[in-house]
Amino acid sequence: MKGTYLGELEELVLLTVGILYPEAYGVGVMDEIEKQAGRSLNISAVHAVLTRLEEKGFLKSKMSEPTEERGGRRKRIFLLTASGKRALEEVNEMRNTLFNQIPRIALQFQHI
Amino acid sequence: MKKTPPKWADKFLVWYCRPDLLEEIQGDVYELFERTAKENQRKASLLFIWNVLRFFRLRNIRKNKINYPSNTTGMVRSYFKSGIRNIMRHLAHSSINIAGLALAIGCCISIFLLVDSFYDLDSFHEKGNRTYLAVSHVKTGDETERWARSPYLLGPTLATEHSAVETMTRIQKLGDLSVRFEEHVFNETLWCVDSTFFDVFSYPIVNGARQPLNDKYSIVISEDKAVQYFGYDNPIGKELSVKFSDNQPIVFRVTAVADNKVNESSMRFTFLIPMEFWESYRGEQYASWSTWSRSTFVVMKEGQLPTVLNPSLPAYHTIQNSANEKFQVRETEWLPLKQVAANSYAIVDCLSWDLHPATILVISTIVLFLLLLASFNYMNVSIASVSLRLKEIGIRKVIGGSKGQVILQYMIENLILCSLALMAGTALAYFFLVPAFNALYPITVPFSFSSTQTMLLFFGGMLILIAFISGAYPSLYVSSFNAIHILKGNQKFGSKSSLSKAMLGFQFTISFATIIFSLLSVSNRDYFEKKDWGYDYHNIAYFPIHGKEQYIALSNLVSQQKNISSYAGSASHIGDEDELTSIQSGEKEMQATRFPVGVAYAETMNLRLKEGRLFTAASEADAQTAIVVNEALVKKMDWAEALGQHVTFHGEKHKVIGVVRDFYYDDFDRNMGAALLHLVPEEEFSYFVVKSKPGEIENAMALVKNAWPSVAPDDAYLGQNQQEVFGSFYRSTQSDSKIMYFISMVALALACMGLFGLVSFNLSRRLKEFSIRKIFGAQLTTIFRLMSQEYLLVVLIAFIIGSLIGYYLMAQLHAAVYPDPMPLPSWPVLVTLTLMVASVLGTIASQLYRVVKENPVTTLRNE
Repeated sequence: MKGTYLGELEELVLLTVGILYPEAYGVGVMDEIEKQAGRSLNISAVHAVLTRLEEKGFLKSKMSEPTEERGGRRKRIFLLTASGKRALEEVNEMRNTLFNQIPRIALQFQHI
Repeated sequence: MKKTPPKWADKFLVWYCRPDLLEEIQGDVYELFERTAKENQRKASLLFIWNVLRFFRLRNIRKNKINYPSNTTGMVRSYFKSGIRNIMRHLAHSSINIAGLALAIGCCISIFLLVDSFYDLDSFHEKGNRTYLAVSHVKTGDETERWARSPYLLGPTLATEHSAVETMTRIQKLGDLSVRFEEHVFNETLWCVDSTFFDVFSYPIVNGARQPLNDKYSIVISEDKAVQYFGYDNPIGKELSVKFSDNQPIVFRVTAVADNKVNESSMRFTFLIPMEFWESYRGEQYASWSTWSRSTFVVMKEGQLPTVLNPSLPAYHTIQNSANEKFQVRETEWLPLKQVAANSYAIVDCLSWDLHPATILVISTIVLFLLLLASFNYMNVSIASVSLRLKEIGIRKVIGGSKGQVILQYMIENLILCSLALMAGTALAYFFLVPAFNALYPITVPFSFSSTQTMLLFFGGMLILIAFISGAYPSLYVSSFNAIHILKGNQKFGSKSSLSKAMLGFQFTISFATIIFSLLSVSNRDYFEKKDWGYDYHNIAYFPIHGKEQYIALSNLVSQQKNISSYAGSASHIGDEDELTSIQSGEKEMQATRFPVGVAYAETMNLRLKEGRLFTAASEADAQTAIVVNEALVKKMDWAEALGQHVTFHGEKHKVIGVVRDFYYDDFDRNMGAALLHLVPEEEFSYFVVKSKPGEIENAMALVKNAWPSVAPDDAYLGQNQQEVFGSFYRSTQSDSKIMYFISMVALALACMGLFGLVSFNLSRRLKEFSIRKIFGAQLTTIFRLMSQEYLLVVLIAFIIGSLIGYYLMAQLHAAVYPDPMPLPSWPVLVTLTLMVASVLGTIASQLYRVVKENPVTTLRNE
């Protein structure tokens, strides 16, 4: 399933968009990722990822109402789509499944 | 203070960014900038720039093609349609544009054909690329001249001694010979040529032997001469008798008729006789190194260059120069046959007709100017006409037409119009201009190009050039309008456009300059017509004759007539024939024009005696040694006292007995040179000159003409009025001034067309204004003033500048061409001024008529 493959940064951005609901836009996502994950991204990279996710159908977007800040320019607000939600769930589920399959003994570091 | 990010970076972002992404991207970078700017302005700016640069990704860059998919072919088709419709809608203006362009294009085509055919002359000769004319560099006096003449024996010697030479032919030109067939006698020019003539040149033999010059008494004639002498009879085998300088006619048999390719050949022969005959006729002395051949053409073998002959040339020059001391040959230049015509203006005695490169340059420049004028016209009118199409452009833009598309549309319309003009111009040139040109000049320019390639290049280049010059600016101008301004109706436009006024001014400047120039050249001709020739040429006629018998017969005829006041014989004649001779006096040696004459000649010709006396019949000493010289000779010799001075020429010493005023014996563009007259016996006479009582000269000529068949049955009657001796000069200047008239009228017409276009569009725009003025009782004069004032000033300025340019050019030309330039008169300015006022007022008045005729109500109700 090539088209729906979710990269690491994409997953991070997708999650952040979910967290920021209903105010997720470029700068907001960038700030949130820096705050939560400590990763400093360039705004253009965030935009690129957001557009890519929208093309894959995981996000949808609309323009917000204009506000005083940004010189009256509108923001593009991103929202999770159903397939975006499913993709997150799948990734999450697969992670959990995989994690659960790790033998318990492999996680008991005190025995080393 | 509100902080702003670096402007250029912002602009850069706006420039490259896809419009649909711009808002969010710009919003984000601004937000980041503002946030950072609260802490550090500098850092914020750097961050802003950095972000803008980082956003510069393929995905974000605007992509026209993808954003605006357009059906180009469909649009182009629609442009064609709307272009043609637009032309049809403004038929009057379109026809003015087309007519103007067509006129200029027609002129261009004609001139191009002339130049093209001139530079393509002689290219039909099969061996043309291996054929060379021997041009001698001859030292005469202090100068070295290029002569078409070469040593008579050079050609044959080279042909026998060098294997690289395939063949050669020499040409001697014999002028003024009477050729008779039965009772038809005409004066003709014959060429004596080697029998290899047709091996060298590819003049096709239409009828008769392939090698027609093998027999000593054979003669080849051109097609037109065959018709002239024999009508539709077969000329082959017919006998022509030719009378050379002595009285015995010699019979030649026509062996072939050849096409002399008048339109493709720079040299034009009518009769060819074998050199073999000429050599035997002139005797053994003739074929020697002291004789000159009028032209020698050498054909090299394939792959050989004539430079291989050069090492052996000095030896020949030595022989030649010792045999002929007067003219020293310094070197021989090999001129390729195809370049002979183009160079003949600089070669003395070249058989090819010449066209001075300056002439070509001048007419080409003028014609290009015409083309420019017409293009400017078109440009002006199409800019003006935009006012009627503003809405269309606005709508096109609003529904998504890009700037490029509007440009394309205008260019296509332009191209349609130019193509129409090109067709019309070609037709004009074909049916009118080229035939008219051919009628004016003694040459025939065929309506054909030297090659298809030239033709395609010419027409294609012309089309693109005109379309570009005339269309580039209007289309750029039109496409730059803002759609919203147009539709709101506040697009500032055109009426005050200084550019179109400048164009108009430029057009009028050029046309005034050409008018003044042509009027000046006409007045120049008048000046020469009224010019003093140095003698009174009225009531004088001359008749070329041969020898004493005819002289005595004519003397007997005229001596009894009451209306003839004087007559004389002569061996040369002022204005018709003369000869440069080296003369010597004391230490001084120089060239002078020599006139061997009869006793009464100087008096009959009305030469004005300054001092001393003319010849007297009784004096034996006069016949032997007396000479009469002109003032120019005295001045050149630097004599304080001319009478009694001794002058030596032809090995004999002569004494000056009289001095006459200078007189013209050559074209007016040459100076009146040094000349002398001396007596010759009656046996040598070749002219009979008659002076009649005032007004009787025509009768005197008729008398001689009637008696001619009994006086000289073997000779053509060639009597002429002395007024006509410079006829060819006048005729050529007359043709030139006709052309100049034509060109200046075309220029004026073009400028008026431009004015007409502008005024009428201006009027269309202001029709409502004028109607309202009319309703409120404005006088016609007021409206006329309103319409004309903005143009009159432009035209006036153009007039002043144009006149100055015209005068300046003419003064320059005169100083360059004539040694004795005439004072430039001022009447052309008045004529031009009148023309200007008439044409401008006429143009405006024709438009004013519209305003007068129109009921203001209909105009105001309109729309």
